[in-house]
Amino acid sequence: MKRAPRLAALSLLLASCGGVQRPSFSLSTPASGGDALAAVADRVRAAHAEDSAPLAVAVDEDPARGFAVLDVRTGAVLGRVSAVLAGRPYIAGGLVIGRVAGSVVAWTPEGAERWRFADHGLELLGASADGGLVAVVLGGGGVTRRRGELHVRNLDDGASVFVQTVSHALGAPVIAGGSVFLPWDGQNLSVLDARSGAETARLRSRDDVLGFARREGDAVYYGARSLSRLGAASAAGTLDGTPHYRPPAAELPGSPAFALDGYTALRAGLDARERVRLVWRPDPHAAGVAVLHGLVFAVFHRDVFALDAASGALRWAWVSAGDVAGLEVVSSGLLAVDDHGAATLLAPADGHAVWRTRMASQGGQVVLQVPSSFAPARNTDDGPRTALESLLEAAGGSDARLVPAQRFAVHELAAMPGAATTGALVSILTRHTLAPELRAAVGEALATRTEGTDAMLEALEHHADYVRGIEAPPSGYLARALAHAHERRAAAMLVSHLFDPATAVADLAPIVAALRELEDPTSLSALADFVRLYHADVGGVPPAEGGDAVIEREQTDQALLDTAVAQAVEVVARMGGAPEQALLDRVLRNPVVGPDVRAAANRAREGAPPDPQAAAADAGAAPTDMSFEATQHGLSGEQIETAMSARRAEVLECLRGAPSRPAQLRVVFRYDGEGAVTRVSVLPEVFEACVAPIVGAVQLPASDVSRALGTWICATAQ
Amino acid sequence: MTTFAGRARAPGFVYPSAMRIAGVLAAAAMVQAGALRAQPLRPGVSTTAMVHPSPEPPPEWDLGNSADTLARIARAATGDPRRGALEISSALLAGVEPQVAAAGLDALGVLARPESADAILRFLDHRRASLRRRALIAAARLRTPAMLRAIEQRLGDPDADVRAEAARTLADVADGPAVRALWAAFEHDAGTGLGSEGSSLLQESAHALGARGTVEDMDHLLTFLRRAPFGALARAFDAALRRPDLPDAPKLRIVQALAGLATPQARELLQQIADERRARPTPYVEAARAAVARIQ
Repeated sequence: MKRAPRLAALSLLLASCGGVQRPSFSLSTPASGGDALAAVADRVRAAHAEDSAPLAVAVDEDPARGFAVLDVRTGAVLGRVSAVLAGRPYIAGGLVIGRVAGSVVAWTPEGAERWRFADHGLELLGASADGGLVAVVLGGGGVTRRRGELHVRNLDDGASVFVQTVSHALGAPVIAGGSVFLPWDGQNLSVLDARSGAETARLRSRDDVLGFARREGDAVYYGARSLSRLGAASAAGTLDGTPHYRPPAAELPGSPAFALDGYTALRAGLDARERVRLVWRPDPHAAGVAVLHGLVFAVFHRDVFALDAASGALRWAWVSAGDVAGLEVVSSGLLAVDDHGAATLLAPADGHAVWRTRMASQGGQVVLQVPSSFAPARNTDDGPRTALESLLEAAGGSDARLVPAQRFAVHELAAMPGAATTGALVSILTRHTLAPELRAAVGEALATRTEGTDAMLEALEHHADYVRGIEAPPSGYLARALAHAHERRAAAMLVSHLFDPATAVADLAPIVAALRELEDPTSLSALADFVRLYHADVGGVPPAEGGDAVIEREQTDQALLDTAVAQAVEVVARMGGAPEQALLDRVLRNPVVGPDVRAAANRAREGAPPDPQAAAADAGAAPTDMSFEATQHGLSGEQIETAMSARRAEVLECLRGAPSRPAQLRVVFRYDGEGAVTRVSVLPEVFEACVAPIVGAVQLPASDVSRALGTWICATAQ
Repeated sequence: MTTFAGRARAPGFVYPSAMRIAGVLAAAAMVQAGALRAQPLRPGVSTTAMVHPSPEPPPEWDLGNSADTLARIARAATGDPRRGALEISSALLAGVEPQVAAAGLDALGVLARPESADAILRFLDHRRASLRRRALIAAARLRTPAMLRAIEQRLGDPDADVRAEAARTLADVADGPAVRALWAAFEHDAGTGLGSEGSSLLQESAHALGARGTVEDMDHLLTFLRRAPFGALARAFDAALRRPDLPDAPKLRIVQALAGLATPQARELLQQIADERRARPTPYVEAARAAVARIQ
């Protein structure tokens, strides 16, 4: 460090102590210069960072049942406390510090109360210990609640060193090298003398939020949406002027922030903010500002995704048996503790488990204090695994809460090249426990792949069989994908599914469209047969046992069937000759033929293009534009979801008081190019009378379709 | 008292819906059905040198006019059987309204001509379950190996009524492979619960096994006592005991097994056996009578 700036900093410090004395947290205190901040950083660097024992505090989901302190290395319980916690506890200097019944209390790992002081009705935001002192901040309620207390006390007996009560929102403190580092009001980071409370330096952000301070090794970091390392460059007060790390933008499940809001206290026992978040640890040994292993970990209940810190690319995924209750990055990997008490250390390279132990006590919230050097001896036989394997695991499962994470995994899978990935997507798609929205996501991901068609063909080889326990394959999605891949071997299989009554009616149009795209001449006769069989298939049938005619097909299914027949009419007209033209004439003469089929036959006879999408496909447009079904060339699922979600609360009111609440409502409707919704049907039907008028009033975005079918799956979980 | 054989379709099924669709067709069907009642099932038809129907409407048939088509089906069903089967099959393959298709399939069942095979096979895969059921009935009238294999496949149909209809149909015509398919269906549903009766597929496949199985099949069915719903097994045993081709020994084993159960349902079935065969005492009827007296 240069001598001149150091002297300048010292003179500034003396001036502030003697001449222009301002109270700590004064809004008029100017931001410190680079030298002052460098001096602070030097003091931290010079101070010896105390290595702490790896401890875990397992808080029961019912915080009234207290908590247990555990040795992470062995899983053994060191002590238990039966106090009713009023907020998330913290570990500082080997003590557990929590808030109970009007007091902040410090317990030893064995569970003995060491000291306490009054909380004055404020929530516990954080605690940090170093050099025999502990800093505790009370406040909470977010950055707009401008009231807080900073306590600095002797770690051993809790004797007060100083207390500062301020009209500012305080964040969690860090104490290191004789200084207390405290973010406040979302914009400032004050450095206070740990003995006197005098403010010795001030960092003010001019273009970002300051939400946390964190000590790692010989460095102090700060930030909120990004991570900066305290030093001379911090004086710039802008991200541009300060070396920093900012995670790349990524659509992560649950959209977690880079760091938890440091101004809002966390609840005890189970706080959802800890279940959906990003976890990372600064690497003080790396040049500049970096995170350990170059990875940021996204947690979503049971799923953990390891993301490249620089690119945001997914490296691997891991699915915990239980909800992840505690997570910490260490030099040997990622330590995860689930709510069943299973602790697992995951290798940073691929996420396979290298160490496991069972905690003797479990909790919905596990607070960890684990030094970066934590590296237990390997005790598993788990081998390395590929990213594909880990993503396949993350994309599966039947836990409905994990659908956003599963969708993310599918999205990441889709981005991976190779036939093996296609096989993985097919295997996911053929799981019949798959949530409908996830099925759509997988199907869409599959639809654009050209590698690995063998897996798709293999899936299509199966036909539903009740006795043999085989369910119908998702032939619609497979048809789209195989057409995109121009896999002509699929034609015969698709024809067989076209005539299989177990094939979902919604899959028929994609199959017909795929046969059109494959242009296999042998499918012409099959498509003509399909038109013959179903063009007049309207109305009821008397049961075999006798009685009145029964209309056994729902209106929605009839519409879907008509769509498929209409498409087949167009394909037959395009590929066929005179016999097929005679068939179309007969279709037109039949008075019972539905309007969609009739319109298609009219277009075909007049020589008009089959439909705009087919014309686009002929002109070389992307195969994804193929008119498989109405919604796929009209509005996207997201557009429909966005428009419908605005009325979701009203729709859910229809379920109030219902004797049985379904997991979801399936709403099918027609819409036109101006976004008007008509002919709404709802499953379960019992809710249709109430839901249909609400959905019918929704204004969808305008699109280029004349008329199309749309589907909205309304999840009913609150 | 429940009659365990009561749900089975009588051999002379008269296709009542066809009567509802058009009076002309109804009359034709009744004529045919009357003839069928007096006769046992036809032997399997040969498909050699068969003329296949065209998927185009027969000349002068206006398939867009359902009333006219129904009338033409009725006439075709009462005229030359071969030509009638070809005309009706062509009409069905060319595409008609579902109520017309139902009548046409009923008529093809009555005609039982090999020329109907293409149309029947097509409708065995139709999306309407009601038409698949009718196609099953018509397929059973043909009794060709190809039809039997097609009927077997419908045991795995997605619709429960069609599955049951397939099993019910096989009770009349099942051969060895079909019996094996029936066993697969029976064993699939034997463990699915649904009370003392079991699923409709279980009941109908049990009945078909009782009606068409071998002596070994009867002994195998006995191993399901206490493991499968009794209602379904009762239908199997009732069908087996009614068979003139089955020796007395397996019948006696069935009665003895039922007597060993000593449950009210078993007693009810034994009572039925004893009552219905009072005039024809055989060892198994005597055993049933003795068991009824013993079971309280």
